[in-house]
Amino acid sequence: MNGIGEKNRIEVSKFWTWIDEDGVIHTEVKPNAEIFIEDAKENSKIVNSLGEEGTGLLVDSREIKSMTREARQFFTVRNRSSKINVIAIVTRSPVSKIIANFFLGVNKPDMPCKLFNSKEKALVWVNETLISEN
Amino acid sequence: MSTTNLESLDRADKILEVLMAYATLDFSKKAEVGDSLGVFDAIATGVNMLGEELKATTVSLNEKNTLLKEIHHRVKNNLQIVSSILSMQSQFIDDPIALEKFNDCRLRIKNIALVHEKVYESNHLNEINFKDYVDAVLTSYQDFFKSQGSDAVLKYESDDPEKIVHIDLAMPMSLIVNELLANSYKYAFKNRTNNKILVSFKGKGSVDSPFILKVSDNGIGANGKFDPESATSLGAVLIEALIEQLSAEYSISDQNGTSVEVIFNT
Repeated sequence: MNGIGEKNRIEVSKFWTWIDEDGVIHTEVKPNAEIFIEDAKENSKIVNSLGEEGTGLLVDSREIKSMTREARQFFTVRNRSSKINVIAIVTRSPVSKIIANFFLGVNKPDMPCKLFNSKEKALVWVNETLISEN
Repeated sequence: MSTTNLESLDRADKILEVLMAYATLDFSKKAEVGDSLGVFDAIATGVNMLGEELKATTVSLNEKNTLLKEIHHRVKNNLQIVSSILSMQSQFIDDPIALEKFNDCRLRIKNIALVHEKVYESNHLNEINFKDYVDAVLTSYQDFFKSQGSDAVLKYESDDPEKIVHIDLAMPMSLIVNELLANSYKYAFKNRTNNKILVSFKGKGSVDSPFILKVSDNGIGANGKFDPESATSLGAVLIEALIEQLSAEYSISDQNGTSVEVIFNT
Protein backbone atom coordinates (compact mmCIF):
# COMPACT_ATOMS: atom_id res chain seq x y z
CA MET A 1 0.00 0.00 0.00
CA ASN A 2 1.62 3.22 -1.15
CA GLY A 3 -1.21 5.56 -0.18
CA ILE A 4 -1.81 6.76 -3.75
CA GLY A 5 -5.56 6.67 -4.32
CA GLU A 6 -8.24 5.59 -1.84
CA LYS A 7 -7.86 1.94 -2.87
CA ASN A 8 -4.28 2.03 -1.63
CA ARG A 9 -5.05 3.86 1.58
CA ILE A 10 -2.73 3.39 4.53
CA GLU A 11 -4.37 2.08 7.66
CA VAL A 12 -3.24 2.79 11.21
CA SER A 13 -5.10 2.20 14.45
CA LYS A 14 -7.46 5.21 14.28
CA PHE A 15 -7.14 6.54 10.71
CA TRP A 16 -7.12 5.69 7.02
CA THR A 17 -4.95 8.01 4.95
CA TRP A 18 -4.30 8.43 1.23
CA ILE A 19 -3.44 11.03 -1.42
CA ASP A 20 -5.68 11.74 -4.40
CA GLU A 21 -4.71 12.41 -8.02
CA ASP A 22 -4.69 16.20 -7.38
CA GLY A 23 -2.16 15.79 -4.59
CA VAL A 24 -4.61 16.48 -1.76
CA ILE A 25 -4.11 14.26 1.28
CA HIS A 26 -7.21 12.64 2.77
CA THR A 27 -7.33 11.28 6.29
CA GLU A 28 -10.43 9.60 7.67
CA VAL A 29 -11.07 9.01 11.34
CA LYS A 30 -12.36 5.51 12.02
CA PRO A 31 -15.85 5.15 13.54
CA ASN A 32 -15.97 5.91 17.27
CA ALA A 33 -12.23 6.55 17.37
CA GLU A 34 -10.87 8.24 20.48
CA ILE A 35 -7.83 10.23 19.42
CA PHE A 36 -4.93 10.50 21.84
CA ILE A 37 -1.55 12.17 21.33
CA GLU A 38 0.01 8.89 20.11
CA ASP A 39 -2.69 8.60 17.45
CA ALA A 40 -2.15 12.21 16.40
CA LYS A 41 1.59 11.60 16.01
CA GLU A 42 1.02 8.37 14.13
CA ASN A 43 -1.37 10.14 11.76
CA SER A 44 1.08 13.01 11.27
CA LYS A 45 3.83 10.61 10.35
CA ILE A 46 1.71 9.05 7.60
CA VAL A 47 0.51 12.44 6.32
CA ASN A 48 4.10 13.69 6.23
CA SER A 49 5.13 10.71 4.15
CA LEU A 50 2.65 11.62 1.42
CA GLY A 51 2.34 14.56 -0.96
CA GLU A 52 4.50 17.52 -1.79
CA GLU A 53 5.23 20.84 -0.13
CA GLY A 54 2.25 23.21 0.18
CA THR A 55 -0.50 20.67 -0.24
CA GLY A 56 -3.93 20.49 1.37
CA LEU A 57 -5.43 18.08 3.88
CA LEU A 58 -8.99 16.89 4.04
CA VAL A 59 -9.89 15.43 7.43
CA ASP A 60 -13.01 13.30 7.51
CA SER A 61 -13.98 13.36 11.19
CA ARG A 62 -17.64 12.45 10.77
CA GLU A 63 -17.42 9.39 13.03
CA ILE A 64 -14.94 10.66 15.65
CA LYS A 65 -15.80 10.04 19.30
CA SER A 66 -13.27 12.18 21.16
CA MET A 67 -9.90 13.92 20.95
CA THR A 68 -7.68 14.81 23.90
CA ARG A 69 -6.30 18.30 24.49
CA GLU A 70 -2.75 17.12 23.73
CA ALA A 71 -3.88 15.72 20.40
CA ARG A 72 -5.76 18.92 19.53
CA GLN A 73 -2.69 21.00 20.37
CA PHE A 74 -0.47 18.71 18.32
CA PHE A 75 -2.73 19.10 15.29
CA THR A 76 -2.91 22.88 15.77
CA VAL A 77 0.69 23.68 15.06
CA ARG A 78 2.64 22.67 12.01
CA ASN A 79 3.78 19.41 13.53
CA ARG A 80 2.68 17.77 10.35
CA SER A 81 5.57 19.72 8.76
CA SER A 82 5.06 22.70 6.51
CA LYS A 83 3.79 20.44 3.75
CA ILE A 84 0.21 21.18 4.72
CA ASN A 85 -0.97 24.68 3.89
CA VAL A 86 -4.71 24.27 4.26
CA ILE A 87 -7.06 21.96 6.21
CA ALA A 88 -10.72 21.17 5.56
CA ILE A 89 -12.56 19.23 8.25
CA VAL A 90 -15.70 17.31 7.38
CA THR A 91 -18.19 16.78 10.21
CA ARG A 92 -21.58 15.16 10.52
CA SER A 93 -22.44 13.89 14.00
CA PRO A 94 -23.06 16.44 16.77
CA VAL A 95 -19.93 15.10 18.50
CA SER A 96 -17.76 15.67 15.44
CA LYS A 97 -19.17 19.21 15.07
CA ILE A 98 -18.40 20.02 18.72
CA ILE A 99 -14.84 18.68 18.48
CA ALA A 100 -14.11 20.44 15.20
CA ASN A 101 -15.59 23.76 16.37
CA PHE A 102 -13.68 23.53 19.65
CA PHE A 103 -10.50 22.83 17.71
CA LEU A 104 -11.00 25.88 15.50
CA GLY A 105 -12.28 28.19 18.26
CA VAL A 106 -9.96 27.30 21.12
CA ASN A 107 -6.85 25.74 19.60
CA LYS A 108 -6.81 28.04 16.55
CA PRO A 109 -4.72 26.24 13.92
CA ASP A 110 -2.09 28.46 12.32
CA MET A 111 -3.22 27.88 8.72
CA PRO A 112 -6.47 28.26 6.77
CA CYS A 113 -8.92 25.77 8.24
CA LYS A 114 -12.64 25.39 7.59
CA LEU A 115 -15.51 23.03 8.52
CA PHE A 116 -17.82 21.34 6.03
CA ASN A 117 -20.80 18.99 6.03
CA SER A 118 -19.88 17.59 2.62
CA LYS A 119 -16.64 16.03 1.41
CA GLU A 120 -17.19 17.34 -2.10
CA LYS A 121 -17.53 20.94 -0.99
CA ALA A 122 -14.55 20.54 1.31
CA LEU A 123 -12.40 19.27 -1.56
CA VAL A 124 -13.44 22.15 -3.82
CA TRP A 125 -12.50 24.63 -1.09
CA VAL A 126 -9.13 22.95 -0.47
CA ASN A 127 -8.21 23.10 -4.15
CA GLU A 128 -9.40 26.72 -4.53
CA THR A 129 -7.55 27.81 -1.42
CA LEU A 130 -4.36 26.08 -2.53
CA ILE A 131 -4.53 27.89 -5.88
CA SER A 132 -5.06 31.27 -4.21
CA GLU A 133 -2.34 30.54 -1.62
CA ASN A 134 0.20 29.47 -4.22
CA MET B 1 -42.70 10.59 31.57
CA SER B 2 -41.36 8.56 28.63
CA THR B 3 -38.24 6.42 28.86
CA THR B 4 -36.47 8.74 26.41
CA ASN B 5 -37.21 11.75 28.59
CA LEU B 6 -36.02 9.92 31.68
CA GLU B 7 -32.81 8.94 29.91
CA SER B 8 -32.32 12.54 28.78
CA LEU B 9 -32.79 13.81 32.32
CA ASP B 10 -30.34 11.22 33.59
CA ARG B 11 -27.73 12.28 30.99
CA ALA B 12 -28.31 15.95 31.83
CA ASP B 13 -27.87 15.20 35.55
CA LYS B 14 -24.59 13.39 34.92
CA ILE B 15 -23.25 16.20 32.76
CA LEU B 16 -24.32 18.72 35.41
CA GLU B 17 -22.41 16.71 38.03
CA VAL B 18 -19.26 17.04 35.97
CA LEU B 19 -19.85 20.76 35.46
CA MET B 20 -20.29 21.22 39.22
CA ALA B 21 -17.03 19.38 39.83
CA TYR B 22 -15.27 21.72 37.37
CA ALA B 23 -16.79 24.69 39.18
CA THR B 24 -14.94 23.53 42.31
CA LEU B 25 -11.75 23.03 40.28
CA ASP B 26 -12.04 19.24 40.45
CA PHE B 27 -11.06 18.21 36.95
CA SER B 28 -10.82 14.49 37.65
CA LYS B 29 -14.36 13.85 36.43
CA LYS B 30 -15.35 13.26 32.81
CA ALA B 31 -18.77 13.20 31.22
CA GLU B 32 -19.64 9.90 29.58
CA VAL B 33 -19.71 9.91 25.78
CA GLY B 34 -21.75 7.09 24.24
CA ASP B 35 -21.28 5.44 20.87
CA SER B 36 -24.40 6.98 19.34
CA LEU B 37 -22.53 10.31 18.99
CA GLY B 38 -25.83 12.15 19.53
CA VAL B 39 -26.60 15.55 21.00
CA PHE B 40 -26.00 14.55 24.63
CA ASP B 41 -22.73 12.89 23.61
CA ALA B 42 -21.80 16.15 21.88
CA ILE B 43 -22.59 18.18 24.99
CA ALA B 44 -20.59 15.70 27.10
CA THR B 45 -17.67 15.98 24.66
CA GLY B 46 -17.80 19.77 24.84
CA VAL B 47 -17.88 19.70 28.65
CA ASN B 48 -14.92 17.31 28.73
CA MET B 49 -12.87 19.51 26.40
CA LEU B 50 -13.80 22.58 28.44
CA GLY B 51 -12.58 20.74 31.57
CA GLU B 52 -9.27 19.94 29.89
CA GLU B 53 -8.76 23.59 28.95
CA LEU B 54 -9.76 24.83 32.41
CA LYS B 55 -7.42 22.35 34.05
CA ALA B 56 -4.52 23.50 31.89
CA THR B 57 -5.28 27.17 32.63
CA THR B 58 -5.62 26.51 36.37
CA VAL B 59 -2.36 24.60 36.50
CA SER B 60 -0.64 27.37 34.58
CA LEU B 61 -2.07 30.00 36.97
CA ASN B 62 -0.92 27.99 40.00
CA GLU B 63 2.55 27.70 38.49
CA LYS B 64 2.67 31.48 37.98
CA ASN B 65 1.59 32.08 41.59
CA THR B 66 4.24 29.67 42.84
CA LEU B 67 6.84 31.45 40.73
CA LEU B 68 5.73 34.85 41.99
CA LYS B 69 5.95 33.61 45.60
CA GLU B 70 9.42 32.31 44.88
CA ILE B 71 10.43 35.71 43.49
CA HIS B 72 9.15 37.52 46.60
CA HIS B 73 11.00 34.97 48.73
CA ARG B 74 14.24 35.56 46.85
CA VAL B 75 13.86 39.34 46.93
CA LYS B 76 13.36 39.10 50.69
CA ASN B 77 16.41 36.87 51.08
CA ASN B 78 18.55 39.15 48.93
CA LEU B 79 17.45 42.22 50.88
CA GLN B 80 18.29 40.41 54.11
CA ILE B 81 21.74 39.67 52.73
CA VAL B 82 22.18 43.37 51.88
CA SER B 83 21.03 44.27 55.39
CA SER B 84 23.48 41.77 56.90
CA ILE B 85 26.36 43.12 54.80
CA LEU B 86 25.57 46.64 56.00
CA SER B 87 25.49 45.35 59.55
CA MET B 88 28.89 43.67 59.16
CA GLN B 89 30.33 46.73 57.48
CA SER B 90 29.03 48.95 60.29
CA GLN B 91 31.31 47.11 62.75
CA PHE B 92 34.27 48.77 61.03
CA ILE B 93 32.85 52.27 61.35
CA ASP B 94 34.07 54.47 64.19
CA ASP B 95 32.31 57.67 63.19
CA PRO B 96 28.99 57.71 65.17
CA ILE B 97 27.18 59.77 62.51
CA ALA B 98 28.19 57.39 59.72
CA LEU B 99 27.24 54.45 61.94
CA GLU B 100 23.81 55.92 62.58
CA LYS B 101 23.22 56.38 58.84
CA PHE B 102 24.28 52.78 58.21
CA ASN B 103 21.82 51.56 60.81
CA ASP B 104 19.05 53.72 59.34
CA CYS B 105 19.63 52.21 55.91
CA ARG B 106 19.78 48.72 57.34
CA LEU B 107 16.41 49.14 59.06
CA ARG B 108 14.84 50.55 55.91
CA ILE B 109 16.05 47.58 53.88
CA LYS B 110 14.98 45.13 56.56
CA ASN B 111 11.48 46.57 56.59
CA ILE B 112 11.16 46.44 52.81
CA ALA B 113 12.24 42.79 53.06
CA LEU B 114 9.48 42.26 55.62
CA VAL B 115 6.86 43.47 53.13
CA HIS B 116 8.08 40.85 50.63
CA GLU B 117 8.02 38.23 53.38
CA LYS B 118 4.43 39.08 54.26
CA VAL B 119 3.45 39.06 50.58
CA TYR B 120 4.70 35.54 49.96
CA GLU B 121 3.12 34.38 53.20
CA SER B 122 -0.27 35.75 52.16
CA ASN B 123 -2.78 33.90 50.01
CA HIS B 124 -3.03 36.83 47.63
CA LEU B 125 0.27 37.79 46.13
CA ASN B 126 -0.41 41.50 45.92
CA GLU B 127 -1.81 42.09 49.39
CA ILE B 128 -0.71 41.81 52.99
CA ASN B 129 -2.39 41.80 56.36
CA PHE B 130 -1.23 45.16 57.67
CA LYS B 131 -1.38 44.12 61.33
CA ASP B 132 0.88 41.12 60.66
CA TYR B 133 3.31 43.40 58.93
CA VAL B 134 3.37 46.13 61.59
CA ASP B 135 3.67 43.50 64.34
CA ALA B 136 6.75 42.12 62.60
CA VAL B 137 8.21 45.62 62.17
CA LEU B 138 7.58 46.43 65.81
CA THR B 139 9.23 43.18 66.92
CA SER B 140 12.19 44.00 64.72
CA TYR B 141 12.40 47.52 66.17
CA GLN B 142 11.91 46.30 69.71
CA ASP B 143 14.91 43.98 69.26
CA PHE B 144 16.91 46.82 67.75
CA PHE B 145 16.00 49.19 70.62
CA LYS B 146 17.00 46.57 73.19
CA SER B 147 20.31 46.04 71.41
CA GLN B 148 20.88 49.79 71.70
CA GLY B 149 19.99 49.83 75.40
CA SER B 150 16.54 51.41 74.99
CA ASP B 151 13.56 50.23 77.04
CA ALA B 152 10.91 51.71 74.69
CA VAL B 153 7.71 49.67 74.40
CA LEU B 154 6.06 49.51 70.99
CA LYS B 155 2.38 48.78 70.37
CA TYR B 156 -0.04 48.60 67.45
CA GLU B 157 -3.75 49.38 67.48
CA SER B 158 -6.32 49.31 64.72
CA ASP B 159 -10.07 49.52 64.34
CA ASP B 160 -9.72 46.82 61.68
CA PRO B 161 -7.17 44.19 62.80
CA GLU B 162 -7.80 42.07 59.71
CA LYS B 163 -7.13 44.98 57.37
CA ILE B 164 -5.70 43.76 54.06
CA VAL B 165 -3.60 46.32 52.21
CA HIS B 166 -2.51 46.21 48.57
CA ILE B 167 1.26 46.04 48.12
CA ASP B 168 1.25 49.38 46.24
CA LEU B 169 -0.12 50.97 49.39
CA ALA B 170 1.70 48.75 51.88
CA MET B 171 5.17 49.67 50.64
CA PRO B 172 4.93 53.47 51.16
CA MET B 173 2.95 52.99 54.39
CA SER B 174 5.61 50.64 55.73
CA LEU B 175 8.40 53.08 54.88
CA ILE B 176 6.53 55.93 56.57
CA VAL B 177 6.09 53.79 59.70
CA ASN B 178 9.77 52.93 59.59
CA GLU B 179 10.89 56.56 59.35
CA LEU B 180 8.55 57.73 62.11
CA LEU B 181 9.68 54.91 64.42
CA ALA B 182 13.31 55.78 63.72
CA ASN B 183 12.55 59.43 64.47
CA SER B 184 10.96 58.62 67.81
CA TYR B 185 13.82 56.33 68.73
CA LYS B 186 16.47 58.90 67.87
CA TYR B 187 14.99 62.08 69.27
CA ALA B 188 12.14 61.38 71.67
CA PHE B 189 13.58 59.41 74.54
CA LYS B 190 16.94 60.83 75.43
CA ASN B 191 17.54 60.35 79.15
CA ARG B 192 13.92 59.30 79.73
CA THR B 193 12.29 56.12 81.03
CA ASN B 194 8.89 54.48 80.58
CA ASN B 195 9.09 55.23 76.87
CA LYS B 196 6.25 54.18 74.56
CA ILE B 197 5.51 54.29 70.87
CA LEU B 198 2.04 53.61 69.52
CA VAL B 199 1.35 52.87 65.87
CA SER B 200 -2.35 53.09 65.09
CA PHE B 201 -4.24 52.61 61.89
CA LYS B 202 -7.80 53.63 61.29
CA GLY B 203 -8.41 51.22 58.45
CA LYS B 204 -12.17 51.36 57.97
CA GLY B 205 -11.79 54.14 55.50
CA SER B 206 -14.38 55.55 53.12
CA VAL B 207 -14.75 58.67 51.02
CA ASP B 208 -16.03 60.58 54.03
CA SER B 209 -13.77 58.85 56.49
CA PRO B 210 -10.24 58.50 55.14
CA PHE B 211 -7.57 56.14 56.42
CA ILE B 212 -5.41 57.49 59.23
CA LEU B 213 -1.98 56.10 60.01
CA LYS B 214 -0.62 57.51 63.24
CA VAL B 215 2.70 57.09 65.00
CA SER B 216 2.92 58.71 68.42
CA ASP B 217 5.40 58.62 71.23
CA ASN B 218 5.42 59.92 74.83
CA GLY B 219 8.85 61.51 74.44
CA ILE B 220 10.12 65.05 74.75
CA GLY B 221 8.15 66.32 71.75
CA ALA B 222 9.55 67.71 68.54
CA ASN B 223 8.77 71.29 69.49
CA GLY B 224 8.35 72.27 65.87
CA LYS B 225 11.67 70.77 64.84
CA PHE B 226 10.11 67.97 62.79
CA ASP B 227 8.58 69.15 59.54
CA PRO B 228 8.90 67.03 56.39
CA GLU B 229 8.20 70.08 54.19
CA SER B 230 11.41 71.73 55.30
CA ALA B 231 13.24 68.43 55.33
CA THR B 232 16.92 68.41 56.12
CA SER B 233 17.42 64.67 56.72
CA LEU B 234 16.94 61.69 54.41
CA GLY B 235 14.21 60.34 56.72
CA ALA B 236 12.19 63.54 56.44
CA VAL B 237 12.76 63.71 52.67
CA LEU B 238 11.49 60.14 52.37
CA ILE B 239 8.40 60.88 54.47
CA GLU B 240 7.61 63.93 52.35
CA ALA B 241 8.03 61.94 49.11
CA LEU B 242 5.97 58.99 50.37
CA ILE B 243 3.17 61.25 51.60
CA GLU B 244 3.08 62.81 48.15
CA GLN B 245 3.05 59.34 46.58
CA LEU B 246 -0.01 58.43 48.66
CA SER B 247 -1.64 61.78 47.85
CA ALA B 248 -1.91 62.04 51.61
CA GLU B 249 -2.04 64.86 54.12
CA TYR B 250 -0.33 64.91 57.46
CA SER B 251 -0.47 66.71 60.75
CA ILE B 252 2.00 66.88 63.61
CA SER B 253 1.12 67.32 67.25
CA ASP B 254 3.66 68.13 69.96
CA GLN B 255 1.44 67.58 72.99
CA ASN B 256 2.60 64.85 75.40
CA GLY B 257 5.29 63.72 73.02
CA THR B 258 5.15 63.75 69.24
CA SER B 259 2.29 62.43 67.19
CA VAL B 260 2.28 62.30 63.39
CA GLU B 261 -0.95 61.55 61.55
CA VAL B 262 -0.96 60.63 57.88
CA ILE B 263 -4.41 60.93 56.37
CA PHE B 264 -5.19 59.43 53.00
CA ASN B 265 -7.79 57.79 50.78
CA THR B 266 -7.16 54.73 48.63
